[in-house]
Amino acid sequence: MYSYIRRSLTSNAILRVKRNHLPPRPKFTAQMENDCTEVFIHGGSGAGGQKINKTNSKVQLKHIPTGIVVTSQITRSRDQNRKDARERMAYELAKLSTANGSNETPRDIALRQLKQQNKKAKLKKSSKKYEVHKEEKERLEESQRLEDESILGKMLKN
Amino acid sequence: MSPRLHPSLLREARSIHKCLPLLLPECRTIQQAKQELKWLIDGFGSSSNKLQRACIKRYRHVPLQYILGSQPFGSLDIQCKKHVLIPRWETEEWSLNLSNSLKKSMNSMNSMKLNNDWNIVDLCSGTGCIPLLVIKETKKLFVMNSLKVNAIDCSPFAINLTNLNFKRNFNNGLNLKNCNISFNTHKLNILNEVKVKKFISGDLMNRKINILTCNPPYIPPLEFINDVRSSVRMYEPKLALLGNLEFYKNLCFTWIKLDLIESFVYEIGELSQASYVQQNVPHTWVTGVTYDSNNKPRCIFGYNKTTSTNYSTIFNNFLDESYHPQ
Repeated sequence: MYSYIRRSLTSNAILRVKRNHLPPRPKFTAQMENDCTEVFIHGGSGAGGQKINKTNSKVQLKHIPTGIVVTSQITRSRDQNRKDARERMAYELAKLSTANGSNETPRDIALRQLKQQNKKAKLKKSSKKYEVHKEEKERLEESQRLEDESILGKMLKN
Repeated sequence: MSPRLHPSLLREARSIHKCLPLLLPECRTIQQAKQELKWLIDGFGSSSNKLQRACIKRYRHVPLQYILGSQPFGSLDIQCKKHVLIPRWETEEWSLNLSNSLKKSMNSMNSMKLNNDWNIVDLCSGTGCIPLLVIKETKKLFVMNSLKVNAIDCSPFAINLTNLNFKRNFNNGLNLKNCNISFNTHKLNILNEVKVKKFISGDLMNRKINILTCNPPYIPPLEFINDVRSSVRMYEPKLALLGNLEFYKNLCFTWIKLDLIESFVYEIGELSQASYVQQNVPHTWVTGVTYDSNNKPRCIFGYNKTTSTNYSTIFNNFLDESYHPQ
């Protein structure tokens, strides 16, 4: 009797990724800092100092053991560009050291899943909306048909 | 003068954004013009008339920092206005290095029990970027010890802007509440020795200055016509640009000779200015030159060997932090 009721409890639900619980971004460590050389690209060897007023400052970071080079010039601040270049370098190195060689960090995978999840949810929502529309349309057609039939009936009687 | 822009380049820029050709005379390449356009859009919005007006200003070689009104400087956001020199990345680099070496050596010096109260003076301060960055970077060190910072400039525009920048970056001084730091500005012509003496005896109460920093005007008038970029030549104050040895002479024969300072850091434009200082300091002083990351001589520093404070650690660190020429 008991064994009859008992059933194997399995679930096909995938663990949902949450937007505010993503795996952290890869960090730039002190070890990496030692392995990197930093170059500031100032565009030629012309005048410097007060003579020229540069607006951009490009930072180039090279990781010597792997030969990866990243550059950054997104902000006007050299300080922030340096930080940005380090973030990018940490990301590139994390991509290299992924276990299965898929070139995707855990954060990338989670972000991809999140995207798929959102797409699915959107599709579900829109298909629901269409179902409602479809029902309404059918109901309208039905009533139209009934009305037509009644008019036709009246005309045939005459 | 730079060569003319090829019409095909202008056409290409026009196909990307209608304002992009206006930025090309100053930027020279499409890539850099795009970068500047992005910053201008961040400042003025993408579809407004304001953006177009800003781009037209840029076409007339107005410095981007005057158009946007600010320039990042280390972790600070420095306001920039007409009549005051815009801080350069070279200055940012060496003042960050100086702050870092101060931090490093102070941490190791604390055990040695050295000078408790620090006195830093910045001459020709302009926007006030150097002393404000030093305060921002080293403020955690001055809770028990005190730090007095004075910024001096002879231009009223500069003094007003320095005060504004202090207010903006330190929340009207509220961010320094837990620290023992005071910041003052003075409108003073430092080339006048009598006024300097009055400042030392009055405002500083005859206390010696630990570090004197300065970014003096150092472009010789002859080079001003040939080497200086048109945007700098046309829009930035000549008061802050034109000069050769006046301020280095003033350093040697006023500040050092009258024994007012214990160490100094001066920005330089060329090596001849550094060698002038090196020839004119007394034998008890140690001097050195640092380079910027563009491989140009950028700073002359010096300290008095005979003082009780151990400046050699600070300035050895400063040399280490700086770029080493190849």
